Amino acid sequence: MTPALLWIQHLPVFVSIAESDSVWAYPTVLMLHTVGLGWLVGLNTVVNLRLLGVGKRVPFASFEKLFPMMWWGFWLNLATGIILFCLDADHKGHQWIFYAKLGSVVLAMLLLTAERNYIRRDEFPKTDPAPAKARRYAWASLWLWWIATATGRLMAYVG
Amino acid sequence: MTAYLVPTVQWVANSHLAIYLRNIPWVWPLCETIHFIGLAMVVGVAGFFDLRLLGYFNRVSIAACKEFMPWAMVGFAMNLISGMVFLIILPAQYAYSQTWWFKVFFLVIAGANALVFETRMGAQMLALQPGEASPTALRAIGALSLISWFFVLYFGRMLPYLGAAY
Repeated sequence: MTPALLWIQHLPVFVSIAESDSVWAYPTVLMLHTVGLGWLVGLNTVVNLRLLGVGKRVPFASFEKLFPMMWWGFWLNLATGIILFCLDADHKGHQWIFYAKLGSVVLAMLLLTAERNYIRRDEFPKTDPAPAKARRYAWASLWLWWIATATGRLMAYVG
Repeated sequence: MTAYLVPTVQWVANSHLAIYLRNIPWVWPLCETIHFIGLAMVVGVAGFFDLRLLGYFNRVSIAACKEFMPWAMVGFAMNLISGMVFLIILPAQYAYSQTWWFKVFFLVIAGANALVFETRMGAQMLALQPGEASPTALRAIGALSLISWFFVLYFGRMLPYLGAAY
């Protein structure tokens, strides 16, 4: 795997970003990755809190507009995440904690989609409490995002 | 510019607490993790409320959306505590950094903005009918909140890269 990772890392575009002293290069990509994290995880947390009984006067259906906004955060982080990986592919590609992060993000996004489809079903109750299944979704989503955030942050220290 | 801070910074840096925390290797990574989980709670919960002030989901009352705000405060408390640990462990890295003072400035703006909303906007908020467009004052509060939280995050994340840290 190492030759492929080194090939990616040595592509001129990534070398020029990695070697640039400009704040618009690596620091801005890293900062945008944090913006996307806050937006995606934070907005999903609002829905999870609602399913767990916070803000009972907010109808479940009003989150319909919130899910596409979470996807903006996801696409931003996919793009910035690919760049961050390629700048340092031969290191990150060998970090077990990076794969733990990737796995938890994939699971959290699958759960986000399942959660949305479940809420918008006609038979989903209009009043509290949310069904036990919805509460399980909410807890699983919260934990997956906490694990994804922790493992992502700890890539700088572990593995 | 920061000469008057030197005695305080040195006092904090040499305190028993700073030395104790600095010598536990997992304290810094743990606080980084808490800081990012808290960041998402602040940005997401406050951002959701700001979107409502800007006129999104205006069938839902502002007061109903406000019921999530204690969780933004939970996230803020997580970040205040973990942030204080960073400051105690390496006070010079922050106190002498212009970038960090910009972050503090935007924290103050975000706080003052929230205070204006709490003290001056109650009547406007309650008078608003479901589906009615958000008045300019409420939109301005929502926009200023989103902008100031963005800059808190911006100057926080860019701290190691913008200007000289020391």
